[in-house]
Amino acid sequence: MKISIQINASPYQYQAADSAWHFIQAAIASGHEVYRVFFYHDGIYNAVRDSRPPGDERDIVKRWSALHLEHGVDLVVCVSSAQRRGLLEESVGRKVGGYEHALADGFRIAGLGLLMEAIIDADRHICFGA
Amino acid sequence: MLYIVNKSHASSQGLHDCLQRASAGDAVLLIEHAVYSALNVKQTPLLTMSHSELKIFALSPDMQARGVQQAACLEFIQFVDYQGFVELVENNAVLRSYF
Amino acid sequence: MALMAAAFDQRVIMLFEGDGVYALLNKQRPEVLGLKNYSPLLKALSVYDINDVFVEQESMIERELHKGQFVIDVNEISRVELKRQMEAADQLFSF
Repeated sequence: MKISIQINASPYQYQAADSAWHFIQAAIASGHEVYRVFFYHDGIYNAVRDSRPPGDERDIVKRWSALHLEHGVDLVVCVSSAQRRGLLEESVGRKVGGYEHALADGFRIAGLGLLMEAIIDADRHICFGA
Repeated sequence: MLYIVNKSHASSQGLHDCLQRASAGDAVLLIEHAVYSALNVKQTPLLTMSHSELKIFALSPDMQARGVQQAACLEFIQFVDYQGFVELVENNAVLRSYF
Repeated sequence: MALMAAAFDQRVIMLFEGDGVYALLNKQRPEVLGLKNYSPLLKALSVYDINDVFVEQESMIERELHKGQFVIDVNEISRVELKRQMEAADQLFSF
């Protein structure tokens, strides 16, 4: 099955990011394709490069980057949600004199069209929220 | 249809709204704090669901994390791990999350 | 999102239930709080060929609302019928 995931909540404060990540691990282990995770609304905070959790806690942002690296999962951050929250793409950051390196490895910023595409193309689309 | 509920009946209307709409053949999966609603206590809206044809599942890693014991839950609750969560998704063409 | 789905050539059915029915009320003035007014977007639904707009009867009764209070024309259907609509869909997207 082709699965797409949507995450609407920020990491650590809500369990959504954890539930989604554990679900994805199990789905991949079962042989399913998790082809996109779309981060929407406060979900964009899962993509903040400078996240520094304490050493004895799970590193949610790094975990996502590793998921992309190991399994090629497309991690997409919604551009309108991101811009509103000051998470800018490198070229945009440079242009407006903002911070250029906000986005963690393995993520890309794109429009809602990619969420729509994921919903249309996937066999199953699962939302995790606050 | 598979309903995925993440909050308990005490903190949100989600489970209540879901139970009003779910019917025979549907499945409800309790994840995150919603696993508290699987406990056999007077206040849980699931108390009246024992004879319904609705299948109610609770995610066991979320139960273990919270110290919610299987033995303390309503006897018709079925327990699944994340693998089971994936199977529920496979077996239900329509999914609806309540959060 | 609904308008985008229509732009992607998808058949879109909009379902309003629970407190979601309040989104249809006319005379909304969000500009009082500096917020965007979505009523014009609701009126645009038919322009995008989204004509299947359903509202749950039970939700309306619970809130003592009637169709005349809404900013667009809607079809009232029962909870059971609303669910049938959901089951017939390929995907559900919630707001």
